[in-house]
Amino acid sequence: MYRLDWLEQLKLKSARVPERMQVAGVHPAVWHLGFTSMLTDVSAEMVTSVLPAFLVLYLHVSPLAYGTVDGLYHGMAVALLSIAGSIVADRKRNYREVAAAGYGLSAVCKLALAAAGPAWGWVATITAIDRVGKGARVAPRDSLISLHSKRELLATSFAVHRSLDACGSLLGPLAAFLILSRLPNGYNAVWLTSFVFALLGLAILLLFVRNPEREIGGGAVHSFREMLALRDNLPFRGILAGSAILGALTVSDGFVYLSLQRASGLAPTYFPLLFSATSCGYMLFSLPAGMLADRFGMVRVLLTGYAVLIAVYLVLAFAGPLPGLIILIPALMGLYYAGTEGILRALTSRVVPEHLRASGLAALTTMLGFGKLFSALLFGYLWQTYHERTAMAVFAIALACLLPFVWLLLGPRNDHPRSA
Amino acid sequence: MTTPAPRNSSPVLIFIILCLVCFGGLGIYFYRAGRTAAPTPEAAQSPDAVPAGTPPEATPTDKPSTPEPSSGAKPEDTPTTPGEPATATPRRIYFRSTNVERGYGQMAYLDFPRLDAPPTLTSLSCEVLDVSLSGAGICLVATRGVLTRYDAILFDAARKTRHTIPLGGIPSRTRLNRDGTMAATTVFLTGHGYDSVDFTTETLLIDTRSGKPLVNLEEYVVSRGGKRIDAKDVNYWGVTFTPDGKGFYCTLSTNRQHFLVRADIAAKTGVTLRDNVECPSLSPNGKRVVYKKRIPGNRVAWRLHILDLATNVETPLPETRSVDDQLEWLDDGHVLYSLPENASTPSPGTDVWKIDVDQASPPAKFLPKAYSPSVIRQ
Repeated sequence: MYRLDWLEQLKLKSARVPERMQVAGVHPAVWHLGFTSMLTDVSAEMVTSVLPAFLVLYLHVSPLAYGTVDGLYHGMAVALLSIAGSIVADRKRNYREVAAAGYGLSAVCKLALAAAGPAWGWVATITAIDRVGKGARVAPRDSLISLHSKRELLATSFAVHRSLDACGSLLGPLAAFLILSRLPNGYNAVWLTSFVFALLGLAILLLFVRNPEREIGGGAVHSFREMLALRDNLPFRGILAGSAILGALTVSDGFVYLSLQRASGLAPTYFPLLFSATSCGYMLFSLPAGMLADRFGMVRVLLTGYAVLIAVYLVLAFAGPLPGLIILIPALMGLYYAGTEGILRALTSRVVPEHLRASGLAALTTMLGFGKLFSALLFGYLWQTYHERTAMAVFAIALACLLPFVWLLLGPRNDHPRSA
Repeated sequence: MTTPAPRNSSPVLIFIILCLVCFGGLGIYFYRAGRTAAPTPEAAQSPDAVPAGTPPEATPTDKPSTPEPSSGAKPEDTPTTPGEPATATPRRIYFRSTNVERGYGQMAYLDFPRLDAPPTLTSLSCEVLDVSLSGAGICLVATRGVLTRYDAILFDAARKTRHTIPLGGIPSRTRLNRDGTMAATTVFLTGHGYDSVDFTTETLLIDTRSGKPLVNLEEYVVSRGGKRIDAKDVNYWGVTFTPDGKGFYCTLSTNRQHFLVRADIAAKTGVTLRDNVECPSLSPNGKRVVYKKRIPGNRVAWRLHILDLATNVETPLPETRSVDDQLEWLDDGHVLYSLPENASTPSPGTDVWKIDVDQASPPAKFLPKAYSPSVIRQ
């Protein structure tokens, strides 16, 4: 009996595991959403990379005046709005339209920057609205990716999207530099170009991406009762709990690079390169990681990604000033992102019923957000009270200890594509 | 069900047309912006460049045909002994030109009393600057590139670069002590990322003779009411040196409070004097401090105040606009500060305004198209 069972499994496995050319099976809509995100990221990163210098050297304002505490309130507001947006998307099945509203809001913000008065208050408001746009669009967009993807290609589909997205973050700062090198003080030209990229991203979404034409979730209607019933969805509950733990034990990127900069003595001028190098790694590793996840199991790849993160923390906690660190850490961070960010969404998409997909994905993001809030407070406390290396070591050890527990929560039994 | 059926018109065609329109529009914008953009410094210095706001009676000798004209009465010809009480008579004012039609970003100067003459441009380009009595000074520069780098340039009386010190962030303030032997710089360090626009400051003291940073103010031991402040969220900015060169005042921020600190350079210690003081600036005689003070409310806005250090009496200055600047003293009775030339739309231009600290007279425009003034007094 046992042997037969095993044999049966093996057969099923070989039948369901996709063939080598997985990327070819990715739905065109996923590619289009990827290009939308790429153009939007070019647009966003153009602005982000020049905003600090614009504020200080052009507007001559002290950006320190606005504390980071406000960011937390914004974060909460964005989380609530994104959940509201997702519920609308689920109920009306208009993922594309809700996502487009989010992309559109961010595009308009780029145009508003050009019209803003010389007060940092304006810029801060526009940045906040921009973030609302980002918050509103993520879950409906990820729903579109998942609804347009075959179950056995979920991770690969997310990987394709995230790879294109990371490519955009690489190109954005470069575009801004090219403009400002031709037109010093040409900040309006930067905002305008950023708006054009955002507009083209939105155009791709509206022109090429459709909501799925089949009946989603077998025609089941989204209701709040059903949404609350998600609590009883054991795999989903496990993922939410696991994500909260993972979020709480993830040090924010800013801290990681700050530690790296201190450990390696890297000149601050080159600090932004660390982010670019990570994006580059993310772009390159995303697709292989996604394909591996579809072939060998999402949870395995996900946990491997977090194991890479533990390695990053350990290196930062204990390694001496090695020159190779400034290459190694961003590469590992890229690998970590490739193995976790999109794959967690793919994993969630697999267990959340189709008619609740956007709400489920928004709940996941909110859980991760709560976790990150906790992590920022904890890390800040450890950094202040002890030392950044101590803080890194604590996070590494805690993550290593809780990873098996997270593995149980995420459902090792559900891990195999066969069970999908 | 809510999905509209794909239209018959080809989305690809629409997208291509949209791309053409967008990039065509951008191209026209860039072409026009390129034509009307500020001329390069070389072009601005050519004799036939017409300086905006130049009085027509400007004599040819005033024309800044060369970046380094040999003017007759240079302050460095008559040096005074450091530490002597200043008579505080302004002789020359250095500043950053914010005139997009002439020498934008370059350090320029005007000699008193002929302040309506066209400014003489120097070859240095600075974001902020300070010049000492000898004519030597400090200039914080931004070198733009894929990675913008920021440096402090220490220059001598002939405005030749003596030392270049890399800075960790975006230049905000700089001040020299009276004899120009020590400089303070404040820069903004930024986190980079879509979700975080958070800033911290880094304030350094620099030995101008060796060109070496002496100390990061974060190493100072500052106490408040006898108790040491050891929070990690401490930020320093806005150093102003005392006339004797032994100490300085600055702002220390922690936990959303902004203290005026009096610091001792030799001991690397400081004490807080009062809350809600930003970017202090000490008068030439060392008796009073002007600074910006936050007014309560949602928006971040400041009002200028003056503090008599002997009596500890604080008085608001008659300026109703919010000023975000470290002030510069013209003499012991007047201060200078910059404001955007246009209050409603962003523009690279700023004007320097003057206010009498002892009278209720309204502020007056002192220098158009100028920023970061530095007054040479003798």
